[in-house]
Amino acid sequence: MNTWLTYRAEDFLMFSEPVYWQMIQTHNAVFWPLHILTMLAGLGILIVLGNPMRFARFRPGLLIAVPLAACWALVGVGFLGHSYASINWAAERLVPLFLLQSALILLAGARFGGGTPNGISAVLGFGLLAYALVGHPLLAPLAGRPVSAAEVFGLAPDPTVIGTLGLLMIARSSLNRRTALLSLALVIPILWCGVSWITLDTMDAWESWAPAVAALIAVIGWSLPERSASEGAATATRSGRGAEKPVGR
Amino acid sequence: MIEPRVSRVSRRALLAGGAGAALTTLLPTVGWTAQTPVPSLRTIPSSGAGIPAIGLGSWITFNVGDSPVLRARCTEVMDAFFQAGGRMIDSSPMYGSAQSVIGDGLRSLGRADTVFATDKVWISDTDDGPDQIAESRALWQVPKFDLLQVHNLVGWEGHLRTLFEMKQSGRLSYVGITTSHGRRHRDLAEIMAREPIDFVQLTYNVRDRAAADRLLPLAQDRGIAVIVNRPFRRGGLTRPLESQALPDWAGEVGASTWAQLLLKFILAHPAVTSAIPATTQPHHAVENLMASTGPMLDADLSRRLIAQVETLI
Repeated sequence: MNTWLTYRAEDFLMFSEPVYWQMIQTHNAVFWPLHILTMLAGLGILIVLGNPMRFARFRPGLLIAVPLAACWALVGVGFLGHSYASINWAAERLVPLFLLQSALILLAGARFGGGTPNGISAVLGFGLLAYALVGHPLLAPLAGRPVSAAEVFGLAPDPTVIGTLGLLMIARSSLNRRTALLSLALVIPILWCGVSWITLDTMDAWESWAPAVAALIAVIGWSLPERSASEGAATATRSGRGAEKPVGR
Repeated sequence: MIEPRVSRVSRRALLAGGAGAALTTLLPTVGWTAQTPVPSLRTIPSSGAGIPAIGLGSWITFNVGDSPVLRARCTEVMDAFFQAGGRMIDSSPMYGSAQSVIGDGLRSLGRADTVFATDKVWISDTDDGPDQIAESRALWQVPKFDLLQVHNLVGWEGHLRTLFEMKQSGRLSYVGITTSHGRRHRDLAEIMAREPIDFVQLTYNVRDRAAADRLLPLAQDRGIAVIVNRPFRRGGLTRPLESQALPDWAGEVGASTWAQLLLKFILAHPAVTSAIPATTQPHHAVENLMASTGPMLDADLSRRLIAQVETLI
C-alpha cells in the first residue's frame, strides 16, 4: 500500500489549537494599529463597490483593487511569512501564492469598469464582505478568546479571503458575467478556504465552518446562471471597460 | 535566569557509570526525599550506558511559536522533567519552533550539558543534511547531539553515511532511524538488519502493537536501543480513558493514572529502551517519569489491559 495513503490530516497538524489562537493574538500585537487602516480599507471597498459609477472618475476598479491587493500582500508576508511560519514551516511556501493573488487583484481592478451590482450574486457577495469585516472578528470573543485575538480583515487570512470572495461575486454581478480574470482570481481564495477549513477542523475548532461555508457560497454563487442584460451590465458596457471575454458563454 | 533547583547530573556519570552509579547521582539535593521514586534506567545496548526509561517528546507540544508565555510554560515542563530525573528530549526540524523552544529552555535552566539531546535529520536532499544538523544544533544551543536519527527514513542512505561519519569523528554519540504510525516496517527491518545503528524509534502502544511482531524482537537480536513514540496516540488514548475508572489491579503495579498504565505496558516489553510522551503540563512530565518506577505489567496484565482498552475506546 502507498505509504502516503496512510496519512490523515491530523498527521500534518504540528500545533495545538491554543497555540494557533495565541499566534493570532501575537500577530495582532505585532501589527497593531494597522488594524484600523485595514478595516477602513475594507469599509472603503464596500462603499465603492456599492455604487462604482459614483466613483467613475476615480477609476473605481483601482480604488477597490489597490487596498485589497495591499491587504493580500500584507497577509502573505506578515501573517504567512512571519507569524504563521513561526509554528508552521509550510506557511512560508504559501507566500508566493498570496503575492500572486495580490497581482491578480490589481490586474482585475485595472480592467474593471463597474456597473451597479444587483442580483443574487451581489446579495451573496455583500453578505460575505460584510461578514468578513464585521462578523468574522467577533468569532474570537464569541469563542471566549480575547478581542486582541480577533481575526481582522486585511491582517488575518480568513476574513481577507472571505471578503475577497464576496468582492469577486459583487464584481461579477456588476459586470453581469464571469470574466476569465475574475474566475482566475477565485482560485487561490477557494484553495485557502480549503486549507483553513481542514486546519481548523483538524484542531476541532468550531470556527471551521466559516471558510467552508464561505467557499461553498462562492462556488454556488459563481455557478448560478448569469442574469440577462441589466442596467448594471449596460452601464458597464457604456463605460468602455470591463470588456473582458466572458467565461462559459 | 531561572537557576536549577537540583544538582546537575554528570553525563559521564550517567552514561559510563551504569545504572547503580547513575541512580545515586540522580538524587537531587533539594526538594527530593529518599522516599521519592527515581526513574528506572534502561541500558543502551551498543554502549552499555544507562538512560532513563521515560523521555520527553516535543511534537506539537513544544511548537509554540514566539509566544513568551507558552515558551515559558515549556521551560517549566522541562524543569519538572529534569528535576524528576529525566534526561532524553526528542525533537526534529519538522516540529516547527520546538527546537528553539528546547534550546531556550536548556539555556535558562542551565541544562545544556545534562540533557540527552535527541534530534533528527529530515531533508530530502542528503547533501543538505550537514547544514540542517548544524542549524538544529544552534537552535538547541548544545555542544553536540547525543543521538541523531534519520526522520521517517527520508533519504536514509545518504543521511546514515553522514551520521556514521559524525559518530566516527566524535561529533555524535549514537545514530538512529525513525518511523511512526506503523509505517514502512519492512524497510525499517531491512535497515535494522543491515546497518550498524544504535537506536530505532517507532510507534508502539496498547493499540498499535505491530512493532512487537518483528521490529522489537529484531532490535533485541541486533542490540539496537528502541525509543517508542506516540505512546498515547497523541492523546487519543488518554483523553477517552481519563473519565474511566482504572482497572482494580492498577495499584499492584504502582499506577495511579491511565497514562502511567499505558507507559508501563510499553516499558514491559524487554526491547524497549525509552518511551517519549509529550506534554504541556509539568506535573504530567513527572507523572510520566514515575511510570518507569515499580513493577511493569506482566504478560497476563498486558493482555488484560489490551482487552480493557479495546472495550473502553
